[in-house]
Amino acid sequence: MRWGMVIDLTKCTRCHACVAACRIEHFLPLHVTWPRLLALETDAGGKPELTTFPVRCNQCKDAPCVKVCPTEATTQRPDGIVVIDPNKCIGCRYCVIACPYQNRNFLSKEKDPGYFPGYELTGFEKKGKKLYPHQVGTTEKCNFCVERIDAGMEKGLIPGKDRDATPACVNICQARAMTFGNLDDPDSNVSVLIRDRKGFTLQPEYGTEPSVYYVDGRIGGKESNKAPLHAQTGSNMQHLSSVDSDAKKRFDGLA
Amino acid sequence: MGERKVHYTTCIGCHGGCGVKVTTEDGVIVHIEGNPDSLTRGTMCAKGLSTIQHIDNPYRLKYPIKRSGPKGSGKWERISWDEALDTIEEKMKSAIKDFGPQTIAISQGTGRGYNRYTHRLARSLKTANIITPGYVCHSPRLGLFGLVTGYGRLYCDYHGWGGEFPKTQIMWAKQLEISSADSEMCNWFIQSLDYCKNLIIIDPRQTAYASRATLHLQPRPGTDSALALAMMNVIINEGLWDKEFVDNWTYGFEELKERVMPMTPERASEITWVPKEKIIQAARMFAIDTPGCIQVGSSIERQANCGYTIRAITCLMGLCGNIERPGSMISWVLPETGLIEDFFLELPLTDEMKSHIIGIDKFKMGAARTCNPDTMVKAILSGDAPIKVWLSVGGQQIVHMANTKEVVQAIEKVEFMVHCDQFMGPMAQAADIVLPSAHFLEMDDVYDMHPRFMIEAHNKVVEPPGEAKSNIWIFNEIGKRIVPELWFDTVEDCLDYQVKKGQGMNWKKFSEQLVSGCWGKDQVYYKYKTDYWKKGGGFPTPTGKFEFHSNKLEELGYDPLPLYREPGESPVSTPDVFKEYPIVMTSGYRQPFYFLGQYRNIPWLRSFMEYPTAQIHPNTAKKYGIKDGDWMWIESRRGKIRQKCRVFPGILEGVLMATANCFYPEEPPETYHGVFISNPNVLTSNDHLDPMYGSPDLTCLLCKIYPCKEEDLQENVFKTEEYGTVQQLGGGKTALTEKG
Amino acid sequence: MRYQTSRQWMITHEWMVKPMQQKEWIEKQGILVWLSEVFSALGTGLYLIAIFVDSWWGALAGYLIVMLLKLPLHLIYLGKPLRFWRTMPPFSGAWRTSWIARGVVFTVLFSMFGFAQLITSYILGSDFLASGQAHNMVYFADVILKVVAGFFVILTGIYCGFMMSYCKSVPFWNTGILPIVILNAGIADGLALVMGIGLLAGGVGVYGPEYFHNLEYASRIVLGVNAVLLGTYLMNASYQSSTAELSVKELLVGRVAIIFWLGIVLFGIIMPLAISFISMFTGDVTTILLVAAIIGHTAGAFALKYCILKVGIYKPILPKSLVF
Repeated sequence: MRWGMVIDLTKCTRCHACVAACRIEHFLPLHVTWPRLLALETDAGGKPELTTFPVRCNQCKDAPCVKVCPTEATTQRPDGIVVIDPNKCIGCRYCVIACPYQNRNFLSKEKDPGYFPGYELTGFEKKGKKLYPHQVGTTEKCNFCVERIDAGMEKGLIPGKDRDATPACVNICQARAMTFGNLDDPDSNVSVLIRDRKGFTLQPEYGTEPSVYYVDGRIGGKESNKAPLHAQTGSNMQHLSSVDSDAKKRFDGLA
Repeated sequence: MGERKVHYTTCIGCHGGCGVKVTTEDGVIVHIEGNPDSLTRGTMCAKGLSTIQHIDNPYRLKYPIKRSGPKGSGKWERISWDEALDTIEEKMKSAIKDFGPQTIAISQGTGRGYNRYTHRLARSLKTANIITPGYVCHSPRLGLFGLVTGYGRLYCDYHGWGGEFPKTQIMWAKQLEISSADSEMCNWFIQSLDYCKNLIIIDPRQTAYASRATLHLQPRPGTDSALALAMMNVIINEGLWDKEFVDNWTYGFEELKERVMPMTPERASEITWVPKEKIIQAARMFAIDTPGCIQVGSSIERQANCGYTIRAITCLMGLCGNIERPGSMISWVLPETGLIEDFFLELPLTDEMKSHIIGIDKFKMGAARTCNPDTMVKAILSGDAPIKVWLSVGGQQIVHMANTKEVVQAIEKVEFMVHCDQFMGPMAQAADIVLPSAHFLEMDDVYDMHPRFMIEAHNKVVEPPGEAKSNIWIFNEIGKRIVPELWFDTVEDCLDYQVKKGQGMNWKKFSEQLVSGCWGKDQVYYKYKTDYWKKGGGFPTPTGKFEFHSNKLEELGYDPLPLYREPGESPVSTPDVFKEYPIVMTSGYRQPFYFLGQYRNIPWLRSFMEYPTAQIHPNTAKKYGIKDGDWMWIESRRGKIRQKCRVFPGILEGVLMATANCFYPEEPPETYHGVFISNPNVLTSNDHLDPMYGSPDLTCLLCKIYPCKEEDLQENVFKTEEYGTVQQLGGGKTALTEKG
Repeated sequence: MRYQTSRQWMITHEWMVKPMQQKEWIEKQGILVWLSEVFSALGTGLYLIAIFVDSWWGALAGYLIVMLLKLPLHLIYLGKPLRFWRTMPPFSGAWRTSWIARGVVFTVLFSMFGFAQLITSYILGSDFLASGQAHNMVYFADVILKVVAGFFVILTGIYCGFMMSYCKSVPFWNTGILPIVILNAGIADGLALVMGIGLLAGGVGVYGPEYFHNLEYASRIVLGVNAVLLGTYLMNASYQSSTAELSVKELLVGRVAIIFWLGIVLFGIIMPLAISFISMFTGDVTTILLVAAIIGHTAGAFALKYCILKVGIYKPILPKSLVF
């Protein structure tokens, strides 16, 4: 099993919700951001194009950060997720330099001044100190919400399918641009997407084998505009639907 | 671990509507995410999520305060709610007695759940001088769609409830996907793209979706009407219109035909700078691949030809039969709780009240229920004092209205102004009394969504800070003191009253149920073929048909057909000005993490784009010696502002896209929080207005640009090393928030 | 201008689309890494040369620079200095892959053997022991210790280079020449410093002041090699990738050009070389010129590490190159 993510660049709208969701999920200090969006605006061949790349730790199969860590604080789990043990990290920043994707954050004191420097911590921050403590002086990064995955799987849930076992950014995305699943399973949602839509990774030349893939393409061109049944019924909210009684009366004559 | 509780509520971080799931531990919020059991399926945006930084925000207003120095001095002292409300009551009563109720103005920002309270309060006081940004956002659509559907709501059917999704979608001056405004609709729109054949984007600048859409049309800002007319020209000349619909259900086709004939694609191409082929292609797609829908953005309503532009677009919809079909434009059946506007519509707008509306003599569509704010500004400046008491909630008129300098001058002349807000902002600094409002996580209220097929509940999750109160409470208290018979004993009574039409419904029940809506098989399409609007079928219009030719408009003295007018300032209408100001400027684009003027004081959101940026083409940048990331001056005949330059190939040469609605909360109160530094409305004109709605040209004007020098960047905001550490947000009035 | 660069870790529109400079190892606390690398090179170079020329004071100075400057500076830099022990076996097996962990092991081994060597050399140098069995044993031990400590001091001096050259993320560093450049520069500096120590001590080790000539000769060669290596390194980098080329441009004509030309080229190479050549013709080195050469060398050492760290530029993440 190797957890991976596929990000659909045709859908990403640069809304930054994934970043905000991560900040909430992990009580991130003010100036720390685990996932980021890269704004790419090109003019290749006179054809302007605007793309947003959501990036986060690629959880590389052959991760340079694991190798350079002098204390084995950064390790790779059997499911492919690269995790940092904050109690082992000495804060040498070697991994920050060595990560070709620049996806590691060293948490220095100045990056954690509190949301409102000079004021008392907010209630949310105070709770965060207990619920998800961050150690100033260590390096941190996206961990694919490993705590959600572990807690969810313990309950028998499937990451990528069940919300409670899926990374927070994947859940929150309005465009549903992110898909999460098992890369080792050739029939999983992510593997199918990568195969069908020619998924690619960033900087494959490094040979790190990232677990975050991207797919791109065009919008539109769909053959059928027929709505599937679940869309026609109003999906999970149907039981709450209710029509204005006046309107009902007016339709009665015609049905 | 402390005691955990899960709350469900509705976000109103923008216009709102997304279901929210909040987890608290011992009464403190520890998690926010989307509510998976809602129509938005558990998704949210950065704005909604960052509401966590509103809670316990040290810059929040906690107590009513009154000004203790001159306007804009930033000197305040704390007062009690009783004193605040007593003063307001006294001022309002004496204004009514001495000058008449029309001298009370009630103003609001864009619809954030208080529309019905501002309108009900105004109507109960017998004034119709309501100042809203409606005339530059949504009101023209409501009014002109209303000429088709009666109650003015015509929305894109993104849901597939009728069995079909739109095959061709046009995003007209709109980036629905970035959800700056219509969050819930953003979600549905994006889902519907999975079934879309053609996505046509009409936007002066490239977006991520425009890069990947079927077609991207880049018009010169302010020329949309010509584009719509030319598309109709193509459709009619090529015989592509929906004959069944046009023959049976429309009125004035021949006149329309005659009107659009001169606007050939060639001519439109000259006007709009859009290649002729693209206009033809777009027209064919929309006419052939039906059903289709057009999402109209409010940027069109920020132009002085907005009325006729919306009319043209509406006619385009009708011409292709894209009305009331599944997957086209539709006016939704209401939920059983009814139309939420009934809360104020039930109070009559008398002729006497109407006769005092500022601007009603000129803008018969726009100033029919609310006043025309630009006319009001001019009236105040000309020495009249039409407004004695101004009660403002939420909005920042200083920021969003044209010609900031005049707006500030006028507002400073208003004798007594009350502003309700969560933070100190430009309007608060101009007020005499500022009342602290509650955040949506701190109040109970009914949420009304744009397309009106459902209402949702805001449930209180945490207590508001200090003595902050929900807007519904504030309005009810003021209303109770002046017209007690029309207001309610308690907030809960008021909420019960608003949902009373639902079967066995009261607030408590609604609050648990969270939503009252109508969707799926309950929605009905082709209403004009039923008795819904008219016995025996037809539209709720004077002719009973979809009106290409509007008799109503003709009666009011307007052209009954759509037409094209150049913007007040453009290369064509003012060639002399164009010589000195050679760049067409627009300010239509939005950031997904700001909502109009809001959220620049929320660190998480500010972190995404710290300074307002203006996009220009690389060649334009080269021509004027400006580099990416530089600060540049943008100057018009009215004034000049500074924005950061973003060199961007996806915009036409000679066009500039500035970030709208920006002020700097961290700048001192004396400058109205830096409203003159970067706000494009410093540049806009309030002299050339739309004949129907009085909308100024906010998104199409002429400007020139040049780089900033180091000495031009002296304000605090340019010197900040670390956001939130050097300067004091909210004007440094910590005493206001810290004082016990 | 300040405001454009101050918060790049936050702002989407400025982040990583363009080539980004590495900051953790040069800015703010990162200055400590730079100083630590400088002292690492100076200390190890000095020690290495000193044991070759039997300069006990030189070896001691080199040892102390490593132990009292290099190590503590790097320690202070760490986010969690008190966890320093975690890098070492048996607490961690990271030395198998991590150059920092290896560096720590090398330094620790050097500290032990170097210390022992200093003691044996001291004993030999003093009149403490008369010649005899004991003296021979100490002499033998001293030779062995010199070899072992010399081995580890080379590793200690070169690991910083390997640590950087391992990073594929920074193409300018990611080359096999870098460690050699750094080691060689360290040796050149060591030569100069040994001469300096010699000045102070009135002679280099057992040899008299005339030995300076030999050192000068060696110095000329090493400096020449140094210049060639540096040139090769930069040439190679500018062909290797566009990002590395950008680094070279930054170095030669960009923001750090002054430091490069003044510090590395003028003070670090040309001046000492010139002095060295002058001494070749005059046959004698004046103290002032020698001091100037030593200062030049040291300044060059500071400048070299600074420049290399400063122009460490990450390869942009995005696949497309044409970015505005």
